[in-house]
Amino acid sequence: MKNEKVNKQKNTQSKSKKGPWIFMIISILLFGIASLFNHTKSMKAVHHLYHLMIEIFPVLLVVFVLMVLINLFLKPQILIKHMGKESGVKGWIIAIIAGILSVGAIYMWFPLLKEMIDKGIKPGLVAVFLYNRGIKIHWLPLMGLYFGLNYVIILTLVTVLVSILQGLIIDWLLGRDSSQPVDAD
Amino acid sequence: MSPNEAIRKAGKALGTAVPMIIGILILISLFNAFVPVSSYQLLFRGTILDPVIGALLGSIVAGNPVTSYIISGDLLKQGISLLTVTAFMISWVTVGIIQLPAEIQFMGKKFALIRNLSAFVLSLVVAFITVIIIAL
Repeated sequence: MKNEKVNKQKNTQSKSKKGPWIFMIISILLFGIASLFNHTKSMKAVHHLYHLMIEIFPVLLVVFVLMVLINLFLKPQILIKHMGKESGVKGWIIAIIAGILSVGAIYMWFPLLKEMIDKGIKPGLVAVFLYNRGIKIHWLPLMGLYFGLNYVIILTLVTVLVSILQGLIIDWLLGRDSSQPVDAD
Repeated sequence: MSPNEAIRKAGKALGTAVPMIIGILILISLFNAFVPVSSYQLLFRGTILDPVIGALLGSIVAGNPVTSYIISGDLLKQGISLLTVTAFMISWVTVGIIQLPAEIQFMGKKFALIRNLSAFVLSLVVAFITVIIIAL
């Protein structure tokens, strides 16, 4: 069973690596086909693309630095240590911070999260962690570019507060089950 | 993790994101050049259902959050409300219909379904609160 899961995970990871490149190639092909049909509108699209790229790519440098810092300072073992059933407010705060700082595809985190629940971490804290993964701190400069700093700060704070509400809902609804490991197999 | 390893890992993650970003930018540029602005009205008609439609769309599609920022920024420019766009962006990153089978497999059916359903409803809550605060 475990081997099956590991193999499935490896296949998904390999697909996810090729996926973006396939997507880019398909986009370029679509562009080629479109330019065969309407050259004027395609030139308009090239002009638009150039401006979008000029806007976005310098921000990617900031994104890269933030990613390096997150990789350096976030360790999964620390999460397990500080998010136990009796962790109280500290557990919620760590779940929020860990969720915000976590990187990588969500399915890469599922095995660890399952292990964490099996080790006695409240499902609500796992839900809080997953909800806060929605805040991608390294991508926020890009969001700011489109929506402004004010919007980014407000949205981020509201998301954090609502994540706690979701954690409470999950713990309330799964309350009885939370004393038992999640039966996922 | 050593600094070198951290740089390598970050480079790898960004390397995966860049082709996706380029692809999205190409599609948006094509879309803007070929599809008239009026077509947005087919999906978003300026009714109270718009945020729900936005949240539904965000729940179904999957991908790097940066993609949702780019699409949302463009939708906003086309006159779609901030409420709708915010619901779309938040559900994009908090609800995962596509990865639901994987989540059920690891986390259990009850946890996965309750989490995704509540995240969908809460994406609307986040959007409402955010827009109200900004309007103050």
